[in-house]
Order: sequence, then structure tokens, then C-alpha cells
Amino acid sequence: MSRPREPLDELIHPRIRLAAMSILAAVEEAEFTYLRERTGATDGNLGSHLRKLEEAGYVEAAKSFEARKPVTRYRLTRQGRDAFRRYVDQLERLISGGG
Amino acid sequence: MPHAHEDLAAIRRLMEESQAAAADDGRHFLLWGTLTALGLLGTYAGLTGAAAIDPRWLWGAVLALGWCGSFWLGLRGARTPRVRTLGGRLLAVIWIGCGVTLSLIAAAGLLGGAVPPQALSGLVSVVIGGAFLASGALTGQRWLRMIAVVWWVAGGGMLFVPGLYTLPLLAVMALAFQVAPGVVLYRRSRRRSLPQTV
Repeated sequence: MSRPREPLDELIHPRIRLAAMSILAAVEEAEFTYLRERTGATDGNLGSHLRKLEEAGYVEAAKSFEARKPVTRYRLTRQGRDAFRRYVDQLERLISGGG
Repeated sequence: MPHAHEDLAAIRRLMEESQAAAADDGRHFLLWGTLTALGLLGTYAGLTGAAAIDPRWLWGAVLALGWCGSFWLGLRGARTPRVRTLGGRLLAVIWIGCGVTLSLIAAAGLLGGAVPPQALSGLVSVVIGGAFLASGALTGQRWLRMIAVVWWVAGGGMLFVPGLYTLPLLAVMALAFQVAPGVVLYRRSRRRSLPQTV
């Protein structure tokens, strides 16, 4: 008897959030501007998606000033890394037909 | 789920690109490769009598310019919006270590007596080979590892068969296997910095 299919994490699933999580999973931390460049999202759109991930405890933000300019850096929390790994595992299982 | 394939491919692409973004952007290769080639050709000209150049002053200038340039590039890089990875930090440490090692070897060869000057080219070549191997391994770029092999083979040859010929040979190698890879890495980093959509 096969295991019932686990639903994909709805918090990660939207395209912008998935892109941001993918980038953050590969690095230690990334600046907001880098995430914006890579996702192609607008400031407001990306900011609202990142806020949702932050509220879920998947990412954490650190604000600082560099050369008198505000800089916000994001990194995945342990919880976020686990959730992302689970999400990718589920996608792979779906593709291999084991989900 | 119809988009699982595309989603997984996009995840992998973004992860690979983000890891690569923290890799060397080639500017240090351009700087040090060019300066080293000029220093070697100047030394060759001085030692063969083609020009009145004192290698000790020449290399003093090369090393001073190189380290000032590296410091400046480091400061600029620190202000650029980027990502931070463990691999990127390791890479920076490895190349700084390589630079300090080569500077000390060069100083010892030119000013002290512990390192025979005829061994300098070979030693420089094998140390650079080690740093290229680390670069290739940390950034997942196979071609950089192949360049490491070239540096080692040439370095081994220069250590076994020393001579003045190693100076222009090393200058050509600096241009072909440090400046040219620097151009490739720089172009790639410029392409990566262009905005993309997911």
C-alpha cells in the first residue's frame, strides 16, 4: 500500500517565494537587491513574499547600513532549510511517480 | 502536478547560479596575471642586459601595486550587493594565502638566500596550480581544475630544468592561464549580474 501523498508546502509554492527560497538554500545569505534581480520581482511584491516567509519562520532578515545606505540581508533558518528540502523531495517523488 | 519538472529545473538553476555568483569574478586574476607577466618580462630584460632593470625594485613595485590593487578591489567588492557563500569565503582565503606565499617566496628568492632564484618560476607555478585546483573544486568549474594541471606540469618542468627561459615562459603562462581565465570569469560574472525573471 503506498503512502498517502503529502500536500506541497503552500508557503513555499508561489513562484517568487520558491525562487527566493532556492537562492537562499544555495548561499549563506543574500541581499534584498540580489533576490530582486534574480527573481525579477518588484520591491513591493518581493518584500511581501519575504515577509510571509519570515512570519512562517523560514527566513530571517538582518538590516544594516553600508556606506550610509540601508541593506537588508536574508538567510534561511534551520526550519526554512528543512521545509525547502522537504519541498524538493516531494517534487522529486512526484516526478518519479512515487508521490 | 504538471509543472513539477519545470519547478525542479528552475530550483536547480537558481541554486547553481547563486553558488557561482559568490565565485571569483576574475578581476584579481586580471590584475595579478598582468602584473606578474610584466614583472617577469622586465626581469628577463634586466638579466639578459636588454634593459637596465633591477629585478628587486621591479618586484617591489609589482608586489606593492598588486596588493594595493587587491585591497582596492576587495573594498569595492565588499560594497557591491551580492550573496555570501561558504565557498566564496574559502576561495578568498585560499587566494590571499596563495598571494602571501608567493610574495614571501619571491622576496626570499630576490633578497634572501634560502630560495634559489632559479627555482622561483617553478615554485610560483606549482603554488598557483594548487590555488586553481581549489578554485575549480569550490566553484564546480572543471576547466579551472584542468588549468591547475597545466600549472603543475609546467612548474614541474621548470623545477627540473631551471633556466632563464622560465621567465618568458611563466609570463606567457600568466597571460594564457591567469589573465585569459580572468577574462572568462569576468564576462560570466557580468552576465550573471543582469536581472532575470523566474
